[in-house]
Amino acid sequence: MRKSLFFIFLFFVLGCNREFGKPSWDVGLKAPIIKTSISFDKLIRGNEFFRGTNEGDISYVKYRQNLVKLKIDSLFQLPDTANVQTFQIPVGPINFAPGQILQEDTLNTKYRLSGIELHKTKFNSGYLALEIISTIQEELEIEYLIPSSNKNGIPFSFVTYAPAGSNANPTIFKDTFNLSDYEMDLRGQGKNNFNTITAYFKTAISPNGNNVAINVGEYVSIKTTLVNAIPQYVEGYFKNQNFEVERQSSDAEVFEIFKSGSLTFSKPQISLFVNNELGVDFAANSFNISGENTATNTEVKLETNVINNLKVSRAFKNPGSDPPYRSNNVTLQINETNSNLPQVLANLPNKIWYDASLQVNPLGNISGYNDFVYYGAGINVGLEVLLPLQFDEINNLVIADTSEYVFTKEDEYENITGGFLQFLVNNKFDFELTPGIILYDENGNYLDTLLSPNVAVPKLTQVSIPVPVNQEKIDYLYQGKKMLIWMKLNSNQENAIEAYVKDEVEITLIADFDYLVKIE
Amino acid sequence: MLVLGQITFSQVFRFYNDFDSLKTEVIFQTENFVQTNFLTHKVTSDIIFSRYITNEVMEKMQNKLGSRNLLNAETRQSLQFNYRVDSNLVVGLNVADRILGYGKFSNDVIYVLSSGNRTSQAEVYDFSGSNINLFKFQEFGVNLKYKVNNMHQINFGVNYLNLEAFNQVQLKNTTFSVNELGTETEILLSGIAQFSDTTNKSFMANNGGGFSLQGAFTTHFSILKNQPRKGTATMFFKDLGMLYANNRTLTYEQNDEIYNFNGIYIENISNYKPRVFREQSPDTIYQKIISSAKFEKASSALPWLIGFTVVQPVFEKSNFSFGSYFRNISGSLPLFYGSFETEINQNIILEVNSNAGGFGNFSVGAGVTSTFDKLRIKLKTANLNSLIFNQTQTGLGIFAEINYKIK
Repeated sequence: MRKSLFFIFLFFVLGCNREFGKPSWDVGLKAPIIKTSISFDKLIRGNEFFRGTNEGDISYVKYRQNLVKLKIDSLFQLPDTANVQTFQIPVGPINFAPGQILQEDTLNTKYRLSGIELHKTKFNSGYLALEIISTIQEELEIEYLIPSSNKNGIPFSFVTYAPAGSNANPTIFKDTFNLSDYEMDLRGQGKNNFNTITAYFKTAISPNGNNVAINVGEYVSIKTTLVNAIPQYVEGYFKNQNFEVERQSSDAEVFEIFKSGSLTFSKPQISLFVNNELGVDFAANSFNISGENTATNTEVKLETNVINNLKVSRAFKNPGSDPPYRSNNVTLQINETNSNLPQVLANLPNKIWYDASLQVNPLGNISGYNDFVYYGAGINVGLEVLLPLQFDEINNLVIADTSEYVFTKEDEYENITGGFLQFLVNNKFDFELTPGIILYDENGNYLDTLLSPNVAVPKLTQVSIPVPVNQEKIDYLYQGKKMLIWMKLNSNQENAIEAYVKDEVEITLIADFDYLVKIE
Repeated sequence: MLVLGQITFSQVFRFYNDFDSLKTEVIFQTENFVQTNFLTHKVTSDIIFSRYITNEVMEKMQNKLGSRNLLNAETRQSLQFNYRVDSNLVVGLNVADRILGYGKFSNDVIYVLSSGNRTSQAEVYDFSGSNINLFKFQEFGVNLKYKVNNMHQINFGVNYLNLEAFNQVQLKNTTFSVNELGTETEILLSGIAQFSDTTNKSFMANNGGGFSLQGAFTTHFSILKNQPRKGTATMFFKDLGMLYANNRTLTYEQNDEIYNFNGIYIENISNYKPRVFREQSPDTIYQKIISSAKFEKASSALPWLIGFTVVQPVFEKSNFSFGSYFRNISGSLPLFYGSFETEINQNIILEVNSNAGGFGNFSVGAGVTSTFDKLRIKLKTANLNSLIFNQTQTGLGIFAEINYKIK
């Protein structure tokens, strides 16, 4: 019977094993994972990069950075300006019939603009705010007209009605009227003034009302205010003004990728450009520029006589065109022959410092009140850097850039037991490079060096760099959120080096893994 | 009940010799075997018993790869009830749970599966003509055994099949190539893969149905004058039928599609956007094949089997058997077998057997039958040589039976 039990047990074991098991074995897998390329145009961000049209062309970096912009609000601003007129009778009561005029007058509203004398404007936006306080016991009709204004041939005007009030309960009536797109003559009634808007107004008993007796002490007060007026166009004399640009800095994105080392550009050139879009003359009495490398904490001042006593004439009106003016542009070329530009660039500045002393109308009112400015226009001062990628020398130049990534965790990764990540680096540049990739977590904490920067890839050469892989390294890959791509460049030669359009580093990441196959 | 397989052919002998004495019986059988000409016994047993397979074992298997690499595996657990209606007729009912797995593989399929594709030179791996089939189903059958006269008997059975799982992959013109550096891969894919509803895969899940027929004709003969018992010659067939998978069968079909994969291309790694490792290449092989998926019905003929067996009694208590059968699977050859059985005492019968052809190589086996009153237990294998030379010999299997005679 014991034999029988043995056999029954055997049947049970065999009979219940309906599924084949979960065996495992090692295989070697080889397959490409990622292919990418790195070139200067991909690394240099936020700038224009000119590849040229042919593969044999030398690539250029063209980098433009605005430094100063003087706009209309730099020259002046139209302040909110109010005017109040009050009507009351000295003796009374006096009866007034419907339609009978209580008060009729001209009203001059003058902007207080220190030294600036405006003759003409067109409002881009703004409004006229009307406030009426009345104790007259009948509805009032108020007419308002600016005769020297124009919008599509029609002057600015309105007629409005203020309800009846009383001494005990005065009427307070408010309304607003849009001034946008109205042209205004600011010379006043006699055309010999400035900054002045002349209006005509009339206050009467409403023609639809009744006879009313106005007693002594009853009054009507009319307040008009020009509010938030922003001109679309202004003409006049903007006076001689000085603008001191305090020392300030701007990031130079073009050099942000360069972390250490040095390189010497063969034919660097920068331009200081001034685009004068205003109808005023412009002068830069001084303009100081320097470049700082914040990593090395070194600053090199640009020494040149080119930008001393810079003067730029006013823009011209160009009616009927868009924009309706023709700017006056001046570009000053700064290169190795008239400055110490190579030394400034060799410092690999990632920050540009500048300060300036600027002036408009340095010669006074030579335009005869014909200075002008359009909304949105200004005087732009900036730098344009033109760097042909030609280098006299590259010495341990480190280019680095960080990018975010997500490496999705897959269960299969746990089956990788060893092998290599093969970095196939195809260096098409005319200089030696040493690549490296470092992984960081989302807070920027170091996790792992995926590719150690210790294998130099000679120029115009393809090299395979094996990186042993294990579970720890794979864990770092999907724990990581940021990838620092690092390359050290060396020219190792005396001749000038040129980076052509076709030049790039191709990197192919190849999985060459020991993989544990598990049959699930 | 007719049970025929590489290691169970002698059941024919047992049944027909017992015909006259049979009253009512219950039989539980379990049969588990792998027939193959390339999977060594060691590899097969490591797979079945969930063990780690060493590179050395894999290399020895690779050394056996030939022009046609075949696999035929089956597990079957069955319960039978046979009742003798009268002196000439026995009616049987049976239920069985079966897994059939078979296929034909190119050398490169086996090589890549067992070793991967790590190579230092450009390679083109040819998978063309490979196929693998795995069916799980349950049989519910009725069998009639009719004794025509003292010389002839007929056996016929019909089964309804509950299709639990239907998996087929058939590769036609399919290659996988990788260049020397591993930077470029190309797949030429032509074939079809069908998988029954993978969300419905519990035991006895219904993903379709089918039917199968089986039958045999036996004649008795005497070739010796003083032969103590008559011999028998039997022609038989089984698994003549079809499997039909329902319209929830996931089907991927590719016709000479070429896929190149040179790594996920990141245009600008310094301006890398998150979540691109898979999504960035929508035209990857994975995406394209997945997008070709459709649900539809599928069907397949069962791999029918036909053969004969001859049992010749020798001496008082011994039999010599031989025969052949052919299973209709691509690449298969007829299998020839022979065996010798002898009764050691009233309770013990020993057997030795040998087999050649079919899906495997030459093999030898042995069996033992023990009788305890109404209980008879049989244990048998056809692959003793594989147990001894497990890293070079192929195939393994075991058959076991408990037979309880109620009357």
